[in-house]
Amino acid sequence: MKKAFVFLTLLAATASFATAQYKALPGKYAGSNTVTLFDSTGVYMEESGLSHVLNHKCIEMYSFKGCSDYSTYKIDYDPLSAYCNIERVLVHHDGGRTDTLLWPDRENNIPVYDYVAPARLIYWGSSQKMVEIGHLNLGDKLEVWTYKKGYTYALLQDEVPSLNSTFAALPNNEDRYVPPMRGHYYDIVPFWSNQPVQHKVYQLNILDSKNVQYKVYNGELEVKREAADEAGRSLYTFTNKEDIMPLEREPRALANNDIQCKLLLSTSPDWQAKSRWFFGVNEDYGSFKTTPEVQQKVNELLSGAKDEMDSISILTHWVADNIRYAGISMGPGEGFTLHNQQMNYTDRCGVCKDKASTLIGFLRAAGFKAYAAMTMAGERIDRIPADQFNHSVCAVQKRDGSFLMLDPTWVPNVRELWSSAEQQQGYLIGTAEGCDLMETPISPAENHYLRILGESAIDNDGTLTGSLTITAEGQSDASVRGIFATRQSEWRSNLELELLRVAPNAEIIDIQYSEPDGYLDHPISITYRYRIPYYATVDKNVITFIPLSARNLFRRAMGHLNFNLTPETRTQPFADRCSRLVDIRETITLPFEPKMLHYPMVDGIANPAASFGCGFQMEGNKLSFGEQAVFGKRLYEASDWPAFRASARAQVMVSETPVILTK
Amino acid sequence: MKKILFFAAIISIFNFQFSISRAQQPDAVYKLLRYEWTLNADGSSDYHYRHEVQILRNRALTAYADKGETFVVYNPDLEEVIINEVYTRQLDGSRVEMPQNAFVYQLPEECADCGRFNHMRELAMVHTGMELGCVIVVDYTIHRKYNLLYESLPIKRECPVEKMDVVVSYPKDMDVKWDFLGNQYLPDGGITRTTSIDEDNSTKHLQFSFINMPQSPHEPYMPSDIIPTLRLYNSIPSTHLPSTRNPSKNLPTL
Repeated sequence: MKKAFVFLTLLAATASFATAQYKALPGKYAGSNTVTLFDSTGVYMEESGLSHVLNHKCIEMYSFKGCSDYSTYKIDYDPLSAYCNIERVLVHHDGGRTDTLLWPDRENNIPVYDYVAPARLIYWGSSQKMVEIGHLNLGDKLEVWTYKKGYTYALLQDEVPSLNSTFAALPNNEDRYVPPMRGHYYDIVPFWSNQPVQHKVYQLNILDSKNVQYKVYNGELEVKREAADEAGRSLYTFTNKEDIMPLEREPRALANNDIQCKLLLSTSPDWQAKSRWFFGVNEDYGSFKTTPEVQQKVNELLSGAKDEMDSISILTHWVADNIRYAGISMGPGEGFTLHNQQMNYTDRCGVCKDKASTLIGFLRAAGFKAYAAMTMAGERIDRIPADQFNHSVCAVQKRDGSFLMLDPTWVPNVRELWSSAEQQQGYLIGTAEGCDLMETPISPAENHYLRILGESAIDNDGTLTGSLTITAEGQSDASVRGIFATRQSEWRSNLELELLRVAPNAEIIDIQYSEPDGYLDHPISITYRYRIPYYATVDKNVITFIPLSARNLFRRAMGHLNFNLTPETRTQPFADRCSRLVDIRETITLPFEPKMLHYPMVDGIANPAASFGCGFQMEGNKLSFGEQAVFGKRLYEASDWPAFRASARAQVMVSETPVILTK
Repeated sequence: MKKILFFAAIISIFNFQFSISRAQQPDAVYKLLRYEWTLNADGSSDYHYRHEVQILRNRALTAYADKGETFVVYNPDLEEVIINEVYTRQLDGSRVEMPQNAFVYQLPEECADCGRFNHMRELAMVHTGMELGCVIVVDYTIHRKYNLLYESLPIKRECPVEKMDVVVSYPKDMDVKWDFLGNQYLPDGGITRTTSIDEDNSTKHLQFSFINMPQSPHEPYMPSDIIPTLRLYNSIPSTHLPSTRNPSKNLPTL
């Protein structure tokens, strides 16, 4: 009885603790970690393009997780081109008390830590400022003021102008904080959030002569324009019309900026202007000017080149494989200037833009016309010419005048010049004349086939003996070849695992594979010879089994099988890694000649987005099985989901449904 | 028929071994690993580290360039890092010195979100001039304001080690202990241990040399203590040492 009482007490305590995780809230905020009561951003843009950004927000804690998340507050900046600071911090406690943690000219302020942020791969010295808020309770409200100056970063002024002062008197600007596209301003403002936001305001104080253009995507905002002062400035105010609630994202949905409300602003008149600027900034710096060492290397690499495309391929893959991805800072200009040939060839490392720069330098040394280009991996570029870029690539002009896109960052060990994982992606080439925004085309699924060919035999006790050969091309080749993108000591277990995952009792007799690192010579080919005891259920008159090749070996190259296929409909567009063709064939020799065949009844699907078909055929004691699935693109509309789902589900069904053969 | 079967079996075994032997090739090799601790009588110490690693496979540069950067985490209040030399020796013999912008002093990831550890630093050395077949040379010293020795040194690495030297120099009145964990996994031979005392009778030296250590095996679910580990420490009771196994009861004292 005593024990039961203790147990019940503990249970009650646990239950009350559990309910205390969340504050009692009006329905729509239930389950949130925090609610942002207001989030106000004010931007004052100077003639030079230098911008001052003030932010003032207040966040209420609704769960212990929220309290924990805000036990520190951080902002990122690059000291080379921006200044930022956390200016004021208050904590309003639930009971009404307010703690002042940070306030100008006050003693006992908490320290503001300023340090180079932890980094891997990109070592540019990007910094952070941080304050330790400490312990917060449910219902506490954290109020923070921050200031930032620069194009993504900088200022050294002492006083923070108030948001209410309409940016009246600002100190002298400093040149290093002026954006590289001088006199221009752009911003991408998400009006979405992973936690509820009650009021979000974005204000821009800008000269009328800058002709700012803006557009709200995927939603509606309240927009107001008013005269800011007599100096020909306007104040634009963008406000959310209703609470910003976190979107329930469907799995594999496109980026938040593609499907949720965002505001784009830019003073750049069009993409051609941006293209001309990008061309100029790198040509002026001399990013692509060849050096004797580079020229010598290019001559050496192309000594056996057969034609134009062969030369482009040799140079692209040399850069992909020999300039490793690790970014070090060149100092001022880092982030938007492509490193020069001297740096690239000596350092043999860099980020995407430096790999692109190396390739451009190499191509120019070989007599090609090559240009730097910008793109946005994983997100759409909308028409307003804001800087919606996160990746740099190369464009080479062929003899016939057409442009060919090359991406040395995404093609190490990939049999492509432009990774088809970047199909349906916007890009902008930097040229002297100025280019418009363009989009990479869909890559046909047959360029990315995964083929599984099997030959097997079932004996009287159900043991399956045979061989399976896996071949692949394009992005599917890259996925299969990923097995070897590890230390050689790990290859054996990686290879074995692919078969053992579907048949744990398989005895692997042999695995042969083509040279993993010779990816340019031929598509990948892996052949297993195996024996699987008691694989099929055999009795006097019936054999039951699932063809081994149908059981989705090498799922690593079949991304469509990793989707949650349960929902019948979708409301959000979605993305796979790449278009793809799956082609499976197997011939199975049986211990007797069956008279009746029961096999999975799957409806064929024929749709431009995705299709599926499969078949079984008996001839004597041989059963032939074939299956083909086609997934036509990388980015899909929500309306493509039924065909995509049906095709993937059909493949799963065939992989799980036994064939029954009767004498 | 029997002969044919036998022949087929031989072929099959040969093929299998051929594939597997390819899979056992190393991607890099440590030509030299050197760890040297000098414990000073004034309470300070110096830790000198050097490695020379050769890249044997291109994918080691691009897919998992774990030799491409060297990280040193230290406490600036107690430690000072002195770079002796860091360079890459390319195939043609040319030496590419690491430029200043490739030394980055940053906050260690483990110290993020904590003011009390905000002074800790990680020196990231981003190696330049890497190419297939190059040798990366890293040589630095950490001067410490303390002379506590408390080290666990795995003897095998993810790639073979041609030569590994471990040296501890310490005042003759100091007590330094050592032991091996997992020494049953050490290959036979290839290990030498020497002790010596300076002529002026003031400093003792304890030295281990490991020659041609094979790369550590890689299989799923391997116990962590399968890698032989040399433990070195001074004035620390053995019960305070972290271990998954009990340390030897009879620790040798020098």
